[in-house]
Amino acid sequence: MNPSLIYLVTRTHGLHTHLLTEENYRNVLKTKDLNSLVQYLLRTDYGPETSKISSESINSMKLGQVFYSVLMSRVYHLIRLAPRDFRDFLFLYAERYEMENVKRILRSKRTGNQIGTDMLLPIPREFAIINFSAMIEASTLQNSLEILKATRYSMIIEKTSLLQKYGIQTLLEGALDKIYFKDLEKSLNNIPDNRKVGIIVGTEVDLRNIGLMIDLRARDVDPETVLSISFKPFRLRDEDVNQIARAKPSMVPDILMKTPYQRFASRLKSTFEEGKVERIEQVINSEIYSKAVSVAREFPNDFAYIVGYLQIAEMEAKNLISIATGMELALEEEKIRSMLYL
Amino acid sequence: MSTGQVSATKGALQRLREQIKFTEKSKDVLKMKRDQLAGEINRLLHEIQRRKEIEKMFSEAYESVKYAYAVEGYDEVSSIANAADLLEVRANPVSVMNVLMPEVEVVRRGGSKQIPSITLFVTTEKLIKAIEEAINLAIVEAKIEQLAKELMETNRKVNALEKVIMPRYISQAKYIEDRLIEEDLEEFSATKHVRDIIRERRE
Repeated sequence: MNPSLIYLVTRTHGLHTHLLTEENYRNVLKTKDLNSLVQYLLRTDYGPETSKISSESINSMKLGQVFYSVLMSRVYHLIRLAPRDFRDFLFLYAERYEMENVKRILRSKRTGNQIGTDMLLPIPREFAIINFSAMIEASTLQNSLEILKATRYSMIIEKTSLLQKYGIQTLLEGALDKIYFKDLEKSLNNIPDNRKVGIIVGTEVDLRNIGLMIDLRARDVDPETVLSISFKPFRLRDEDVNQIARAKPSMVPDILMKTPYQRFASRLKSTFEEGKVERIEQVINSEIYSKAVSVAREFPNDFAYIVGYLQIAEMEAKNLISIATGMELALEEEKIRSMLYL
Repeated sequence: MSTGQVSATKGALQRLREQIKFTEKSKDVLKMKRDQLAGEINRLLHEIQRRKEIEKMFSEAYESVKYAYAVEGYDEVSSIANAADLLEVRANPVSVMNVLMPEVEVVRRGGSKQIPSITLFVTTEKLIKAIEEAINLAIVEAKIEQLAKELMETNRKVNALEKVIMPRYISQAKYIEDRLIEEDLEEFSATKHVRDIIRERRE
């Protein structure tokens, strides 16, 4: 085994111990309000950041920003630790957060709404490849997109015609994801013994692809356009993707029954049957998370463990956001628990 | 009933009779308007029975909104909402039977299609439907309110014509008629008396 990988995996095992355990979640869910939640989190990685918020001004929005800021520091800390052979892949993996910022800026540019840098994920300057401030300052969506010209996302500019034709922002965001996942898959080739990491990345590519196609079909986008935006499948066959792009969203689970995603298909089917279409994204995230956990458990000494850790850390941030927001909205404990990726 | 100060002349009686006829016609027209207004209110009352259904739509939409907030977080929801155009409506009041009726036109439906998240797309669709229904209900309720005001006013007018103005005119006409008969009788007996005196003198 590559000694630099041994080092990185060992450090990641150490970082993994900082993540919240099931018992932590149980205790967090028992806290009666946001102040008690903050008190509980003081003993965790979130402590230094949450302690900066005065008890009078605690709200789920501020806490959400703290959770994402801790996630960013975890992700980029790992990239800093990574030896050169693995850093490029991890750096590309972390570009998803830059893409999230790009999406946030483009959304506001389309409607002309104001957006500040405080609404963006705090990506360390040394790792940022996109000039977010320039994108924010650009007067139009087109001008904002021009800033991406010098990046690998330059092809997105061609997709603005689709946005004009359909008025659907998802087309633009899907096109960004397509470029991102294509490059991520490509960079897998530079990782030695990439099969296990491929399971995590591939599952995410396929499931996000399915989610994107369902989303676009639900908005009556024609199958050809859906296909042009869809990603290159990983474990799905081209034929499956072709069928999904042409099917009604409620028929997608039946198509997936014949693919390696049967468990996901049955969960998706019950979501449609219960009429809870808004939960599709949660079902997708939950499947991606389960895959990351199982791969990390199965291969604790592999690079896949590191990618699994990054996925789990992201889900932890999402879980804490759900807990804080759920508490603020006075949702019952059981309801909040049902939204968590555990 | 007081008859007020009326000159008991045949001309005044003629004018009063014309007024009574005109008032009678006005009363009939107002009664027709009252019936029309009541009919319209009855028709609209049927429409506001949808309120419960709309309240249910809202509570379902709010559950979805709560879910979306809890799953995505405030920052993400605000960012996604940034992509959508706002719902735009224009108020055009229309005058029907002299009643100013509110009409609201949805100029722009709001941008559920532009929402780049399936969770929020579905939630927004629910919310927009509920809001559109609520706008329609608000229009109906405002119409009922305006029509009810007009109905009450029309009713008051009909009552005033029936119970106050018409009886007054009728009693005034009766008073004038009585006076005229009295005057006729007086004149008749005076003439008769004069005729008798003349006849006596001749004899």
